[in-house]
This record gives sequence, C-alpha cells and structure tokens, in this order.
Amino acid sequence: MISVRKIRAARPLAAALLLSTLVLGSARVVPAGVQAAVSHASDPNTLTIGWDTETKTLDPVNNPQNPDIWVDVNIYDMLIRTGNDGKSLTPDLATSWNISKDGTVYTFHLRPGVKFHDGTTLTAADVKFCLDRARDPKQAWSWTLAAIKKVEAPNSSTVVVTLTHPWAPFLSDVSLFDAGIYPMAYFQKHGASYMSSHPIGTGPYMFEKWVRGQYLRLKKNPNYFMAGKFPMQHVEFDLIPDANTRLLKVEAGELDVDNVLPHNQISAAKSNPAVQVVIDPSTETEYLDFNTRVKPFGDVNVRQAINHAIDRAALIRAVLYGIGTPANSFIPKGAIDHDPNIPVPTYDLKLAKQYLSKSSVPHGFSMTMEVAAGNKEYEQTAQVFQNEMAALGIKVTLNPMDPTTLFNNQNVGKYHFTETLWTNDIPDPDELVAFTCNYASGSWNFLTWYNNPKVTALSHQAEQSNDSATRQRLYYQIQEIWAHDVWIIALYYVPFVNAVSSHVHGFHENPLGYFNLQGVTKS
Amino acid sequence: MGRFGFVGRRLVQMVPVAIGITIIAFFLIHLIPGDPVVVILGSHYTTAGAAHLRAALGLDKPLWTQYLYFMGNLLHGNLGDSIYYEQPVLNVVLDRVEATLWLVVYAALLAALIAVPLAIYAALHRDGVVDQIIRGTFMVTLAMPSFWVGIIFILVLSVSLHLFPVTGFGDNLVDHLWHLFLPALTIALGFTAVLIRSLRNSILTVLRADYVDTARAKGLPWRLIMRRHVLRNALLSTVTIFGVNIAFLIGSTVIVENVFAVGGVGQLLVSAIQQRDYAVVQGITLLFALFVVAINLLVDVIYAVLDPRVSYD
Repeated sequence: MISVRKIRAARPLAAALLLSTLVLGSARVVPAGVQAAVSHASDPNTLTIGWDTETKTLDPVNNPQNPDIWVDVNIYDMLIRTGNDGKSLTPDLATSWNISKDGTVYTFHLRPGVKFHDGTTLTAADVKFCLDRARDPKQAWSWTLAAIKKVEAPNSSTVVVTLTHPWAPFLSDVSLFDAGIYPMAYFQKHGASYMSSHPIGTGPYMFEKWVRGQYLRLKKNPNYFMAGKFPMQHVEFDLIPDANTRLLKVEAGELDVDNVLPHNQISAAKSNPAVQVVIDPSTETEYLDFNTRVKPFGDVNVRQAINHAIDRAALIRAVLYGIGTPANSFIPKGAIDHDPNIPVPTYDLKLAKQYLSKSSVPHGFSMTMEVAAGNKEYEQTAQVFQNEMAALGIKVTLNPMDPTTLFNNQNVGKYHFTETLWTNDIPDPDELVAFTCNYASGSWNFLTWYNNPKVTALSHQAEQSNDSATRQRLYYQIQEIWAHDVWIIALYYVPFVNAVSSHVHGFHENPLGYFNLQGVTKS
Repeated sequence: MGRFGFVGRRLVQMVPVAIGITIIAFFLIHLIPGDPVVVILGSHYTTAGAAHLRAALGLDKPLWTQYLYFMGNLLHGNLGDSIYYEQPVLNVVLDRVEATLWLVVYAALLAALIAVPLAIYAALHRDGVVDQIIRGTFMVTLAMPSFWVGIIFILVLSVSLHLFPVTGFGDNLVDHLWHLFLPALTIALGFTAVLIRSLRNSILTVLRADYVDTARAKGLPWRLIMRRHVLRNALLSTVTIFGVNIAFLIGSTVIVENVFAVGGVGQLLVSAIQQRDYAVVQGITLLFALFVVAINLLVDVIYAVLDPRVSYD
C-alpha cells in the first residue's frame, strides 16, 4: 500500500469556495435599487400581507374562504360598504337609496363617473347583471340575496330592487362581497374562469400579478373616487404556510403583516422591537354545540350545569394565551344588537351541582365529545373540559375525528357534543340569529336540533321589521331566552391578532375580517 | 452488446416499476375510510356533484375497470381535477413545478459541490483532525431535522444578518439563486453526510488498488492519478447512492418548501393533504415516484458512461 502524501486536494475545495463566494457575494454587491426591486417587501410603497392559505378565485360570486374574500373587497366595490367598525353601512357605488313604505322596493342612485379598472364606465346594467348572477341559486352565496324578486335598471344611473317580502337585513346583504360589481361586457366576453384570475372591478386596488403558490399583487387604482385616502401604491398577499417563518419574515423587515399569528407567538412578537402586535375586535366566537337529541342533552338543567362548570377565564389563559374575552351571549360582542346586559355565566361548581341535582341525571353521566383532530386549540379545550366535568361526576370520552368528516357529520346531526366556531359574514345580526334560532333545514338551531317555536317566531319577526329599535328589542328577547335555555354554550370571543412591522402605521382589521387599507402608511 | 445495451435493459426493467407505481397511486383513493366521494367533496357535497364524481371515478364499476379508466386518463395527461382549486390537477402542479425543480437541482449541486472536495480531503488525510471534524459535523447535520435547520438558517442568516431573503422563489435567475440558497443548503446538508461517507470510503478503497500503484510507479503526477484513476472509480458507488437518495431529496422538499414558503410542489402536497384534496395528493405522489424512477434511470446511464466494465453485467 502506498503512503499518502499531502495532496493538492485543497484545489477543488478552494475552487468550490471561491465559486460560492462569488455567487453569494454578487448578491450583496447588487446595487440597492436592484435589491429593492428584487425584494418587494422592503419597498415603502408596497404593503405585504402574509397568510397560510392560498387564494383560489377572484370571482366574487363564489369565494369560499377568507383569503379570497379579503382580496376581493379591495378589487370590487358594492352598492353599499360596511364601515370600519364592522357595523355601519356607508355609500359606496350607490350614493343614496330610498326604501318604499312597505319595505319591498329599494331604489339605489349610482355614483356618477365611476370607471372600471379597464376604463369602461359603470352603469346600472352592470349592477343588474352582477346581482342577478350572484342570486342565481347555483351560486354559493345566493342565499344572502334570496329575498330579491327582481332587479331592474330603468336608466344608467338607477337600480331598483324589488323584494318578495320586507327583509331588514337586505342592505347588509348587498354589502357582502358576493355583490361585488364587475363589467357585464367583460364577463360575457371572457367568462367566469378567466375572470377568476383576471378580475376587473371599480375598487381602490386593481389586479397586477399572480404567481400561484407564492403571491398575489394588486396595484393602486388611480381613478378610484377616494384614491387619495389610500397611500399604498401596491398591496401584495404572500402565501407563507409555516407560522414561524411568517413571524420571522416580519421580524426581518421583509413582510409587513402576519395575518395569522398563533396566540402562542404573541409574547415573542411583542418582545421584538421590530414588530407591533395589533389586536382588533372581531366577530369570531367559539361555541360548544349540544346535540339535544342525544340524552341527556335535551334536559336544560344538564346544559346549565355544564355551562357553569366551565372556567372560561382559565380556558382563555391556557388556549388563547390571555387574548380573548369570556362570552356573555351567542351574538359576538362587536356585532349589532349584542346585549351587554346578559352576564357571563359564572364558573360556579356549587351552582352547577344544584342544576345537575334538579336534572334527569343527578348522579352524573357519561358522554362523548368529538374533537377535530389536528386542531391544537380544540384539543386543548377538550382536555380542559374533560377535567372540569369530572368534578361534576360527568365522565367525558374524547373522540378525535378528521375535521372534514366531523363537519359533515355535524351537519346531519351525527354527533354528540363538539366545539364550533362562527364569524359573521354580514354586519346584520340576522345571519347568526337565523342560524341559531330557525328550526329548519340548514340551521336546525345551530345544529343542535333544539326546537323552540317562540324563539323561531321572534327571529322571523326581526327579519321582517325595518325598524331598528324594534329589531333590537326582539334580538334582546332572543338572547334572554338563550341565556336561560343555552342550547349552545358560548365560550369566548377571539379578537383578530396581527403581527405588524413597526414600519407600518394605521393597519387594522375590521370586525368582519376585512383589512382597512385607508390611511395605512409605511415609513 | 456494450454499455448502452445495459441501458436498454434498464429501460425495459423500469416499465414494470412504473406500472407498479401507478397501481399503488390508484389504490390511494380507495384507502380512504368511508365513501371516497363524500370525503373527497367534503363541504362541497351536492347530490348532483356526487353523482358526477362517482361516474368520473367509475366507482360503481369493478376495480380493474376503474384502474383501466385511471390509466387511460393518465396516458392522456389527465390526472383528475382538484376539488380545492377547481382545475385539472396537472395544471395546478405545473404552475408550481418550476420552483421545486430549481430547488432539487440546486440542492443536488450544492451537495455535490460540498461533498466531493470534502470527501477527497478527508480521504487523503485519513484520521487526521480535519477528517474527524468533517465526518463528525456531517453526522450531526444528518441527524438534525430539516425544518429546525431551516428555521435556524432563517434566524441567523436572514433575520439577524440580512444576507438572504427569508422566503420565496424570486423573479429572475439571480433572484432564484439568491432566494433558494438557504432552502437548497438545508436539504443538501442532510444529503451531504451520506455522500461524503460513501465517497471517502470509495476513495480509500481505490487508493489501495494495484492500478494506482502502477500509475505512481509510472511517475504520473498526483493530479492526473486522482482525476483519471481514483476519482472516476470512486465516484461509481457514490453516483448510485446519489440516485437512490434522490427520493430523500424530493421528500425533503415537502418540509423545506413549507418552511421557506418556496411555492413549489412540496408545499402544494402539504396543503392538499390538509384540505383533503385527494386528486392532487394522488397526482403528486404519482409524479414524484415517476420522477425518482426517471432519475434512477439517468443514474444508471451515468454509471454506464463512467464504467466501461458495465457491459459485462
């Protein structure tokens, strides 16, 4: 065997090192202007927002999920827009409207001189076309416009909508993203499929570029009637699935907003000077759903016993890391006609035991709770709940299930007890109240199959009354009945939490989840 | 028959492998518990849609007929439709394949660039301090999980030192190289350990061979000996290992693309699994598997190019 000499093996190594240094070094030697173009986020004129789910379609009529909806509300305008408080209704494409005495005919007067992003002028014919398409029963959100009998455009600046019956939530319904307005000619020429990736609207931002799997970029619409109020020239939505990476990107100054900040990262974000944690009220509420056809959940004393054996404050500390509010009503705190006078159910074991002793199962019982597998917060909540019920003599068996299967089962009543989430899509309380109080297909009283004709009647009454004072009275009555009968348990309200770069000023999320890009600036 | 007859035989052997893969991919849908149509449609379930899907999947027909439908579709480039994206699976995948290809090739190149010089150095200074350090370090990097390594790189090199961007793919050539360096390095580090070990051992074995003694006795310069005799022979087994580990490389992209938000097929696979988009999962599994098979075939070809003795196989 030959002895080995020290060889110039260093050569290939040196060559490799030199090559890599050159490649990497060139990246740093690149002039600042090119670098800025290369990394969009550090650009002071672009607001970059990161989230973990990809946008599917920019056709407003069938947006199934938030990453579609929240992009669309910047591209399209509706006749009416919800204000930044998530409650008020402000003129958007309609500058004013009249309602007939019997509440069935709405006349909208369109804002003059509005142009679409492709330069064509908005007319009432476009509005009629879009509303008719949105209310076609084939479309996913048509139920919000189900009250419409017909839509007419008597002249190019007036739209007349006739309802089949008085319907109080109508103005809210028409402010929903699915009533976004696009040019009829554009749709007829290119079709829905093309439009879903090349949207044309009248909104403050227009479509610029979409790289699937990576980002979606919008640029400012210079002809927007309130263009001056939107300082950002571009808005970019980045897809970043990993929660750690998203926050790190904000810390590095490459991303402006991390829209999906898990609660367990809030303190890490707060302690970093490059990041501000913006907390905004939302309509997001967590509930515990009883299937009242399963014994003994049909017994109100059992439900109340469970209600008072849950320590909401402890749950908020453990699951939400302190960022949340105990729920006093099934209507979220940020929503219209939420009754602030109803007390949060107390955490009172003595009271819980009293209820249980009055019930059909005074010595406790066994129950099953379905848990959506893979959802850490739900799994944690289920475990805390299991412990809390043991004190009452209630033995809880947890059944983790695939979330899609659980969702499907819940919708057909094949479950026992599980946690559910709700956020409002429209500002009007009717959407949630109808779901909670109407014993009919699609809602079944929030999928509990609890049947209370009185509360259903009150819900229908409130839908048909156009007087807000009357509606408030009715909704308060409904909430009182709910506080007594508690066919669903309301756990807590969860605010929106965004990790925002310290360079960004004025960013907020309104209670419906839309980003207010008005007045957002970057330094 | 010569070297390239060897390749021809390998090509023929790959066909049953490819067919086997399609059979496994086909069965993926049928492993779903419950009625696949209900589960596939999930919250989009409508009676009309279900009937349509059932017909499209041929679920009421015998299994072998369904398989024939599947193969027929496959040969026309139809991998089914994504429930989530409401587009053909092939389109959804092709939109994102560029990023993954870049990442895989970049990672393989980086691994080779790092492994070859280090392995040579380690072999030639066997049991020296540097050799121990090289082997030890890469043993550690092999053991570390890639998502952790990725996050550490981001923390140190992107967030603190601002040397590289945190995520993304970039818009032009230089951009791609810059954005993908950290993800490619993350993948490469796990891979390199195996390559270094294998190449180092091969070099040591080859250095003991008679023909190396002969070459030295003839007075050939070391550089020539290394290049012409030692490396070319040592690389043989490493090239095979490289090919076998391509599967590891592709599997790594799934995790690393998510950490670095590269927007490629790996990231798509994870979100498809989360959304129960079975057609996409099935399509990507099939494509990945066929890609690995193709790479192994390529490796066999390279083997044939490198080793003239292969014709005696």
